[in-house]
Amino acid sequence: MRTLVVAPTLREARMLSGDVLAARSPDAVLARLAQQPADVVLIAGICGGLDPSLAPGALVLSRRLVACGRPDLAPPDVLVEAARRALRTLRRPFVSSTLLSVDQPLATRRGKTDAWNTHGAAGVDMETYTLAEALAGRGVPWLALRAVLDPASAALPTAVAGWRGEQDERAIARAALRRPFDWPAYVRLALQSRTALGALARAVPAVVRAIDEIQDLAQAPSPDAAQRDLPIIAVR
Amino acid sequence: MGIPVRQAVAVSGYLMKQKLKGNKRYPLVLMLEPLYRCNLACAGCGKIQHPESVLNTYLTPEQCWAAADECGAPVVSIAGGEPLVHPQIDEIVRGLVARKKFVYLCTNAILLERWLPKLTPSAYLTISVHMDGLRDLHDRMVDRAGTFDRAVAGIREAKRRGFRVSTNTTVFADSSPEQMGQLFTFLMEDLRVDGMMVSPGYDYPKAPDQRVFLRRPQMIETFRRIFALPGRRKWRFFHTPLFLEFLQGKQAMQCTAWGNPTRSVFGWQRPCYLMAEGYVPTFRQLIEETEWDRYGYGRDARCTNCMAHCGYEATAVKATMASPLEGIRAGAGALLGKGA
Ligand code: SF4
Ligand code: SF4
Repeated sequence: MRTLVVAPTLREARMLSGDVLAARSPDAVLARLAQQPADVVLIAGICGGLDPSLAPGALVLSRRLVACGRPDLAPPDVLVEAARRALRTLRRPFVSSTLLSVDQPLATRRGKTDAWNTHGAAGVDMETYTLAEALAGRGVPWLALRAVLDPASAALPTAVAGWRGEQDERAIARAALRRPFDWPAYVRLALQSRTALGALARAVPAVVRAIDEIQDLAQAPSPDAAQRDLPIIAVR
Repeated sequence: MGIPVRQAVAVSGYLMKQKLKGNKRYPLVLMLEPLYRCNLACAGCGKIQHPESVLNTYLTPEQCWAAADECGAPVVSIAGGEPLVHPQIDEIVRGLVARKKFVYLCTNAILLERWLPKLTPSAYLTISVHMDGLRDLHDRMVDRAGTFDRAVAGIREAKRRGFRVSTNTTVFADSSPEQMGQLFTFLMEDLRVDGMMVSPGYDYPKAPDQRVFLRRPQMIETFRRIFALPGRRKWRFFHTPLFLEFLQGKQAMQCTAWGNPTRSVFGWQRPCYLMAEGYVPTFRQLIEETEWDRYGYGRDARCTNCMAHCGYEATAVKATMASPLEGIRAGAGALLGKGA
């Protein structure tokens, strides 16, 4: 199996080895696949933590993707099971759970608690759903793996709520300079970012290897996986 | 909250010991199910749907004590089935109290008055009576007329004899917040119970009536309305303030299934009191061989509508211990007996 790893930012892509594309837009990913096809796309990056049991660096393997007002998406069970097995051997904290995609960072504890109660998603990011939706539309099997950056119990510094992509980081740095009270929070975030990216860098090669070993993507899911995929209700 | 001070101190000491030992997973409450036989057939029960051969199987007192010794949890909740149907329940309770376990004897109270003379009041023993509503609602939920009156008579007699008595209420789709409020006020002011426990019903696939269960968003809404009722300050719950806030959607929590391990007639139940994915013969196997990360809200579809105390109270207790502020809040609650 050929796996293309898609990381939404350059910072994430630099930490990963193998066939890695830094891209946030579905068009860029589809254009790359048109040039150089792949059997599976692994979307890898960091995320905000919503599951309160997850610390920075914990990994979230997508079993399901949700976005407000959109139909749920799910990767093939055979990919989830292979990745789960690989992650278990790493002996790092991980869960196979739901990922939520939103338009802007969830910066407050209240916002994170509400998102957790509503969706039961372990992590939240801004890209996975649109990427996976485009891939599913082209029949490309996908899987998503995210590492928790900020835990559910922590609010993000105010200026970070305006992050929409790496192009905003200068403005955020300028805003941070003007708010010394937020500096400890930025230092904490920088340390958490190192932890999360480190966890991702260790996990992605193991998952890619596990995907490589799959013989047939159409393989029937294990009965256990089928049981777990009963529909989850969680809309308020 | 209102957890007895002696129990709060013992549990805090136990938790600290676990922390010092570096234990990652340790039990807080042993859910002991010495039998599945029950003298009722409640609409929302998922415990009694077993063949006769299983319903006729009871754990011996020795097996019950061995389970308590093996797991080491400071609190033992004896559930079932109906524990008072077990012919040696008095012996089981005596042995657990002798081990200084805080025992919650859960019962529908139909047989309570018959057993009280054989039980001895103790700071380690709490009789926990199943109470799902005032007369009409309770008798409807347990599907037998007269059960509410028997439970009330049992509670009065137990209090007269000097037992600590708590109640255990499951909130279902039919339980309006106002009805729940009236029930809690009645339990506290008329029956003068020592404390109450409350949990939303878990949607057991095996339960006879699936319409009785609330979905998670409805659970949160119902508990918000219950705790907004006037008179709420007079209710005393045997729960941490954090758990009660979790029920109202104000706290995000993940389940700690290993905090309340279940020992039934089949062995140690995996992964929790509510779901039975299999059984193992030893507690060690349960803790070490279960893939705990697979279970919980968002991780397993069967956990979606679970906000039960057997999954989340252990999380709340751990969070309380980890935060000095929460510790003070819970400690003040225990000392003053105030609701959270
Ligand atoms: S809920 Fe309790 S009292 Fe009711 S049938 Fe089940 S075990 Fe018996
Ligand atoms: S959330 Fe926890 S206690 Fe509830 S059903 Fe799932 S594993 Fe069991």
